[in-house]
Amino acid sequence: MWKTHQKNKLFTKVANNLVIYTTMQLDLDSYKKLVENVKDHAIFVLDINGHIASWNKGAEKIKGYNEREVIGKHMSIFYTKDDIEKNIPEKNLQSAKRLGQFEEEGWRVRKDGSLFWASVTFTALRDKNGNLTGFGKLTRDMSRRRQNEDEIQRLNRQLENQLQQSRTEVLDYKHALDESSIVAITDQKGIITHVNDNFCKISKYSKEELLGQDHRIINSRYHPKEFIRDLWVTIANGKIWRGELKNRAKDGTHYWVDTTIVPFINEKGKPYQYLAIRSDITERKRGEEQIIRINQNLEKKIKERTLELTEALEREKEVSDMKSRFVSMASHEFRTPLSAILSSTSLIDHYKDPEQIEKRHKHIERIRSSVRNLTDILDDFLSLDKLEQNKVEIKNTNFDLHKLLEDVIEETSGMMKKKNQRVNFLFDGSGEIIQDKKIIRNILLNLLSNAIKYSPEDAEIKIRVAAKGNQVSVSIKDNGIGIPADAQKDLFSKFFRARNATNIQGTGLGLNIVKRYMELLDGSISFTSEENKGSSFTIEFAQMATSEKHGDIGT
Amino acid sequence: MKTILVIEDNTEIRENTVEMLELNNYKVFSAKNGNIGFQLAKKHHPDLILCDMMMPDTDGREFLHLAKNHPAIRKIPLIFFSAGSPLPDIKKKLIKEADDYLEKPFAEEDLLHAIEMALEKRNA
Repeated sequence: MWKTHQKNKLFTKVANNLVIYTTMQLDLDSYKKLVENVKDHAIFVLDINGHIASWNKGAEKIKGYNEREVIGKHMSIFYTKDDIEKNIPEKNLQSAKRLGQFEEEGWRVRKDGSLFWASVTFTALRDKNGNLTGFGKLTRDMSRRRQNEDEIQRLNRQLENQLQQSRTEVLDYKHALDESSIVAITDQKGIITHVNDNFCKISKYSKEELLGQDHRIINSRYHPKEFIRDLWVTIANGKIWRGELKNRAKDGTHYWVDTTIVPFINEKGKPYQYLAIRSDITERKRGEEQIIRINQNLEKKIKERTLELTEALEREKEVSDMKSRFVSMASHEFRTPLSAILSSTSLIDHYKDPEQIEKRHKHIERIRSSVRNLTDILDDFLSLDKLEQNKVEIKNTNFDLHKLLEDVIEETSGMMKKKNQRVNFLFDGSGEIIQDKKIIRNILLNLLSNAIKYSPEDAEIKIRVAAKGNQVSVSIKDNGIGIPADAQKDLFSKFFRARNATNIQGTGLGLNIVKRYMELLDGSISFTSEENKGSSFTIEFAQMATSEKHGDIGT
Repeated sequence: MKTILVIEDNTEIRENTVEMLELNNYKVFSAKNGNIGFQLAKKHHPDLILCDMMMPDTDGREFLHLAKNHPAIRKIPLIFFSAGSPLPDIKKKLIKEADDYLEKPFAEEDLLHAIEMALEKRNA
C-alpha cells in the first residue's frame, strides 16, 4: 500500500509538470507529441468552465471518446449520475481553483456507460498575471488496482475464514481426541505441560499434581530398562513410538495403555515436545495376564500330574519288580525242599525190604525236615503280610528270656550240628521280662539261623545278653561271610539279598520282618559287619513292656 | 559201570541224588561246590557230570569255566540242574553250554533218562 501511495505521488508530480509545460504553451513539439501519445493516462485541459479543450491518446483509450467527439464537451460527462446530482464536478473544479491542485479517486463513466475507478488530479492553470485560464486534468484508470485491492481483501477474508475454520477444526480434533483418548504433552525433557481429563481420571492425579512434573511420576518399573531406552531413542530421533505401557496410578494400582507418542519437531528438526495419545487396555491386558496365569497353572498341573503318574508308574514298577523278585525267590526257595522231598519219596520206594527200615526212616525224616522248611518260609510270608496290614497284635507276658534263648539254641542245634558249629552263650542280669514272647522268639530264631547259615563249618557263634535297668540288649555275633559295605544300607529291605548271599538259600524276608517286629516293640536293631570277617547283630528292648499295643499304632 | 560226578551244595539233595544213581548201578562221586567238583573230575574222569547252578563258593558257572578250559573234562557230558536262578540270562547261557538241563524238583525217571540220553549222544 505504501509503495502504491509513493508511486502515485511521484506520478502526480510528473503529470503536473507535463500539464504545466503544456499550458504554458511552450513551443515544444516533441513534448506535446509525448503528451498526446501517452496511452496509459488521460491528460487533457479544461477551460475555465470545465469544457474539454484538449485530448490525448490515453484519454481516448481510458474514456472511449475520440478527440472530435469530446472537445468542447463539459467534463461532467465522465461523472456518474449520483456525482452530478451532488454537483461533484463543479465542486472538484472549485477545489482545484481554491487549492491550485486537487486530487480525488472515484467512479467515472466511460463512453459506453461502463464505470471505472479513477484517480484524478485537477490542476488550476493560471497565466503570468495569476488569472485562471483553465484546468489540467490527469485521469488514471485505477480499476485494476482497485480490483487488486478488492482481491487482496477478498483473499484476506478468505484466509481469515479458512484460519477460523482451521481453528475450529483443530478445536474439534482436540475435543474428539480428548473425548476418546488419554492425552498428555511433555516438553523435550519429559516434563508434563498438558494433560486431559482422561489422563487425570486413569492416573488418579489432578491436573495440578501433574503439570510441571516429570512424566516418570506414572512409571510402573514393570518394563525393562532397554524397553524404555528404546522408547526414548525413538522419539528423541523424531520418530513416532507405538507400544503398550504399564503405568502406575497415584494410589499404587497399575493400568495398561496402548500408547502412541508423536514428537513435535522445531525448525531445527529437533523435537521440542511430545504428544502422547493413550487408550486404556487394562481389561484386555488383565485378560491376557489371566490367560497366561491359567496357562501357567495348567502347565504346573500337567507337570504335577505327570510327576504323579511317573511316581505311580515307578511305584507300579517297584511293585512289579517286587512281585517278580518274589516269584523268583519263592520258586527257588520252594523248589529246593520240594526236590529233597521228591527224591526222598522216590528212594523210599527203593527200600521195600524190612531190614531197610533205617533208610526209610532217614528219608521220612528228610521229608519232614523239608516240609518244616517249607512251613517256615510260608510263616515268613504270612508274618510279613500281617505286619504290612498292621494285623500283628502284641500280647505281653511275663517269661524268662534266659530260658527262651536256650530253647532257641536247642531248636537250631540240628543246623549247627550239620556244620559242626557251636554256640558261646553268656547271660548277664535278670532273665525275667515282660514282652511278647512269640515275637521275641521269632526275632532270636531268625538272627541265630542267619548266624549259622552264613558261618563256615566249625565256627563259633557268640550270644551275649545284658539286662540292666529296664533295658535288655541281645547281640549275636558270627565269623561268617559278612555283609559287603555297599549292601549294608539295603540290608533290611524286603527281598534284599547281598551279592555274596545269592547262592545261599534265603527268602530275603527274615531281616525285614525282624526290623518291623523291633519297631513294633519300640525296640531297635543295629549291626556291625565286615565282608569275609563276620557280622554282629544287636537288638535292644525294654525289659518290662509297659503297655500292650496294637500293630497299627503309630502307622 | 559208568561213573558219574554229582556237584551239589544242598546236603539232602546231594545225598539223595547219589543214592538214587547208585541204586541204578552207577558209580558216583560227589562234591559240594564247583572247585571240589573240578578236582574230582580231573582225578576220576567220570563218564558224566551232574552240576547244580547255584552254590556258595564256586558255583555252576565257575565250574563250567574250569571244565571248558580243560582238554579232557570239556569232553565229558554235562547236565545242569537248578531250582531257578535269580539271573535268568546266566541260566540260559549255562544251559546252552551243557548237554541237558533239569529243573528241580525232578523225578527219578527224568534224571535217569537225561543221563542215558547224554551218554548215548557222546558214544554215538
